[in-house]
Amino acid sequence: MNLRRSKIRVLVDILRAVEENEMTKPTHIMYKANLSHKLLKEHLDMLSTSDFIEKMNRGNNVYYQITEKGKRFMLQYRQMEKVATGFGLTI
Amino acid sequence: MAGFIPEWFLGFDSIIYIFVTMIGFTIGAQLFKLYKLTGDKSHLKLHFGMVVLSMGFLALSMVSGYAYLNFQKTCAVECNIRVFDQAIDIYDFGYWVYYIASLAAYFIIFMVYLPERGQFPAIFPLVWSVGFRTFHLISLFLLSYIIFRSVINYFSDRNVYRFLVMFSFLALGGYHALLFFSTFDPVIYVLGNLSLLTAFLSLLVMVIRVNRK
Repeated sequence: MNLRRSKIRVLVDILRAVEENEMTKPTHIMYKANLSHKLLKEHLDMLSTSDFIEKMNRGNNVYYQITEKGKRFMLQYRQMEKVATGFGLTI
Repeated sequence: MAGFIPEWFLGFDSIIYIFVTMIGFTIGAQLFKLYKLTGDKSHLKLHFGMVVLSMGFLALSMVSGYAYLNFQKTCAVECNIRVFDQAIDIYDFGYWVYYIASLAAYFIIFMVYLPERGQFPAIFPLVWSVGFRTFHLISLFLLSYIIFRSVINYFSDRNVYRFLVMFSFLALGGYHALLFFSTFDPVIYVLGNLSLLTAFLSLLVMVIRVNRK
């Protein structure tokens, strides 16, 4: 059994953490998605470039917010997760 | 083969196969969406398995429908043996397409559920000796492992989606088991086809529930 998370699973864990609140701090995402600072930065940059999340600056703090595209992706992911688990497959 | 199909059921089986084909392709499309999202090869294999299985049922629906219509047309006035034989030949050909497609599909799905890669059960030599009963027996053998895995999957974390898939594979197993014995009583053939329809309806319910907003 492969215990490593797939790339898509890591991205979904990040998006889940981001969509929990209206605006989410990177430290909260890092904690929730169980990632190192370096990996988190890489993935956040990728998700921002793909317009799944939006980076926002409030004073000295950086926050992330899920976009409409990100929300649509999460909806599709949740649907597909049901299909996969129904058939006993992992994502 | 037509000997153990009740006369009143002729045509209904073709309609069941058409429904099964449409549902099968719908599930296949859903599994392709899953593959596009994840890029996981096992998801692609399951998609292929479902598409190949549906193609088998498509062949079966076409030839059984054709044979039925030909039977009606030819025998309504007077049974023309030559035309009737021709229809039966096409019917048999369609059955062979269905046999091969179904076994290939079950084999692909079987491989998806195998825990370790690289293990190839010696099934293909058996395919050469396929007849009606052997086909259902091999299908049952392949399905029994798939059913076993789907039962484990359901009991590891009970939810409605896992239940519907488990129920579907169980009903598909029931279809092959019933058709294996269908030479004994024509009613068994009807029950087998109803079991097949139930199997695919169960998957259709799953897809509808998944896509419900």
